[in-house]
Amino acid sequence: MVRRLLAGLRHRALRASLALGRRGPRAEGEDLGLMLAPERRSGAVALVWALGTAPDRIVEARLAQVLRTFDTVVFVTDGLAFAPFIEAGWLVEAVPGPAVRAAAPGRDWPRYLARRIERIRRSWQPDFEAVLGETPEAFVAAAAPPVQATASGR
Amino acid sequence: MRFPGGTSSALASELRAIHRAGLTAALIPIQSPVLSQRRPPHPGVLAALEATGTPLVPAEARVSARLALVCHPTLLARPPSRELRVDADVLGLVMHHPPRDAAGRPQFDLDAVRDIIRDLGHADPVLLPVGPAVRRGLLADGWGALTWERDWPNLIDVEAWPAAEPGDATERLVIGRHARPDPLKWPVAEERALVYPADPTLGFRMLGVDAALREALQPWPAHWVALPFAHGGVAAFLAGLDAYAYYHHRDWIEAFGCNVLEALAVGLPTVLPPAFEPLFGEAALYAEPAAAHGLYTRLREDPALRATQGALARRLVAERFGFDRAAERLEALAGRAAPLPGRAARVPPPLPRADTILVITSNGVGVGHLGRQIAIARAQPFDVETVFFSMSKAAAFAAAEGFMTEYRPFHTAVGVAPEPWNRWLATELREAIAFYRPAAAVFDGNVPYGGMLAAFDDRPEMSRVWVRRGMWRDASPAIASRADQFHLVLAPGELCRHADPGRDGAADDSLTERLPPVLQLSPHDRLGRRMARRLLELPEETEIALLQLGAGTNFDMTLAHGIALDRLLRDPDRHVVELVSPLAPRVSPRGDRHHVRTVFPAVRYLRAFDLAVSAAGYNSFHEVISGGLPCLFVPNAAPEMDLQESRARYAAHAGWALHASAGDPYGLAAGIEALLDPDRRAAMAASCAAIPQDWDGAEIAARRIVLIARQAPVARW
Repeated sequence: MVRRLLAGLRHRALRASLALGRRGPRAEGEDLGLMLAPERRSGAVALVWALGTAPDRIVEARLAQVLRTFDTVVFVTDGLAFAPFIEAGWLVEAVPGPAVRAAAPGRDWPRYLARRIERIRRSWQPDFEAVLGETPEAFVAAAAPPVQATASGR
Repeated sequence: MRFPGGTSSALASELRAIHRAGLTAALIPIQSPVLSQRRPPHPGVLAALEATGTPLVPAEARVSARLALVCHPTLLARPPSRELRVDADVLGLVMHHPPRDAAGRPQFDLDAVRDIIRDLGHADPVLLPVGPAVRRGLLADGWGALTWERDWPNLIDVEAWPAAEPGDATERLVIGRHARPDPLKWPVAEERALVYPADPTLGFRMLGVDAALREALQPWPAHWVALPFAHGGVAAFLAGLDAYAYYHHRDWIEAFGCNVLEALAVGLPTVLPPAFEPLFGEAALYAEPAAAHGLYTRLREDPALRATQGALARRLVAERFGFDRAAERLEALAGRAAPLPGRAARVPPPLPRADTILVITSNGVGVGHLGRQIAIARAQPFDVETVFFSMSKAAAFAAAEGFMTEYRPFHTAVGVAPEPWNRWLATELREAIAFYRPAAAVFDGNVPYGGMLAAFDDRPEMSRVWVRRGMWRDASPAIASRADQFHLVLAPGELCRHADPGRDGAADDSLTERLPPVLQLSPHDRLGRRMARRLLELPEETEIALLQLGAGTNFDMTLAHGIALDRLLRDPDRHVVELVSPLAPRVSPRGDRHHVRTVFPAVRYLRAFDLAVSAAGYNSFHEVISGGLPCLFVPNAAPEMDLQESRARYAAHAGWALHASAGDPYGLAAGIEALLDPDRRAAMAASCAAIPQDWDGAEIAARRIVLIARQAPVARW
């Protein structure tokens, strides 16, 4: 699978340009590309991870310019104030952010988030991924409870 | 607690009697597989729970008690879906039903019940027959060794039943009977003619007759007055009788007869078949069917006999079945066995963990489903944790209220077909259910999605509730029938219920529990006028109109919006506030008297306004009417919406509000002119204030959902 994780796309620091390279037909599978409508399946799909950050309008405008060549753009946020993304014509997925996790700290959030992120990737089958703020992997790692200091670990 | 008849009445009495005796009880709800899984709890049990403060214990919580009573043998006829951790010295199985019917057919597998109890780690249960009929059945089947030496009859609080006032008329005798509408509660045709005969000196009133029963008992005699059953209406019914007579089908063994007990308790002279004599003794009169008519005639002609027999009945019932019996028999049963070997000193059980409720709200053009569930979640007790799994783009409102909230896009939001989306939803929900481990899932939406139901099926121990708003625009029996896949269906109250065509199937559905209207905020919790205006940054003194015509994403309100705004702003002293959904396109104010606000819940600020022009969605409509805010309703008539037109039209006919269609410029203009008339506004406010309606649907829904969450649903092994 062609996937370029553009970790350089940082909040307020959009510096990567996306070279669009369409790939061949998507792989078939029970849940591969499940969220792609038939007319979208042959087009280019971008996943934009906006985790641990709240893009401002300048970034949104730059993103809109950069992402206009994609047929499908899915914004993945860890907040619920995603109306601006929808207004921009992008699709939205959301994962539980720190406030949700803090309400139930005893749960196995890293596993839950990691599995959710994997399902997002499977169900959208992106050609490209862009990152604003944290990478998905760093976002998952940050959800782990803090390690207790021990005598041997000082 | 869901049995429709005497079993639940007995439980309600038991709880009240235990409470009066100063003992402590807790209730663990377990569903019986012999009932429809979505039969709602019995109102008498619910009332007893509230009156006594009896706690509901989650099925899997560890409980320690001297005595555990399993209040019907079928509760454990199949393995419970949740682990039961009851630690009791004695486990009694209240036999509300005989093991066989009159024809000898087994009614349940008592061997299996005993084996399941053993496998759950308990000693053999003590079988507690509610009366001699059940005792005979148990002994005949060889259960004598486990059967308690005493009966465990249903109890009754005689003082709570007003004594009948015996009349002295001899011309005519009014005889009654009441029972749940089951043909087995009625004798066969030839016996019916004998025990409820056509005689001009006798009148018969039958409480508990529905259309199906009338059909089953055809031809229904003209001299029988049929009355539908109504919980709480029995005392009034009995007060209108001179005597009581109860006969049932030959194939039916009446285990006890709560209905008979109630008639005896009020002091009605009561005629029964001889099979009841071992249970009620001298409290009743007995006659074979052929002799019943003669006994009625004697009672009619002899007022003194009626008075004497009635007084005797009331006294004997108080002695044998009164609440005073509760403490003594509980002590006798609990004290009969030594603590189980190996039992450590009793330690306080750990506090049960918080119940998690997973609330799934559908997509909507507004925030109706989500807003309703936020109101219900807000009414939950502190030991309930609500997690929202919403398809609403306004899910942030739930998070802002402090609830854990997850968003998943609806298929229309991503342009994918329903079939793959349902497969995706099933996967997403399975994961969320496995992660949050909710005791119950609550769905608020019009169509229970196939993917959602598939995910539910993977977790049979989780209870399911459908909050189903009425006023469906189209009939869809296939969708309505999905009610059977839930453990409870709650219908938020509809002020205009008489205008509801009943296309959700509720009209023919006695298993749907109807609530009072569910408001997002109690009328008492709304901000005062001055505070609301301050928080909305509005002038304090001038007249302010509210304009809320919805998100406009699925229905063209442009004409209504323009006409309303033009006319309302024409008068120079009036301000107009548009409360817009976060889902709506951004609106630019038209001058400094036109304000645009996005607040949630909007109803919190309702008192800021003097008049309103509003769409007629469920929440907006009921909030405006409950607040007595004079309003012109402009219904959103989009095909996917509820029947807002019916609601608006009904309100106009009732004088509660005005109504105009979104596409009717003349009606809109006339409606707004009428709304600006102070006399019309005063009349509408007065009409709304006079509506005799409870508004606590959210609180009741919250209590029901907790109850269902704490039950062990029927296992689907």
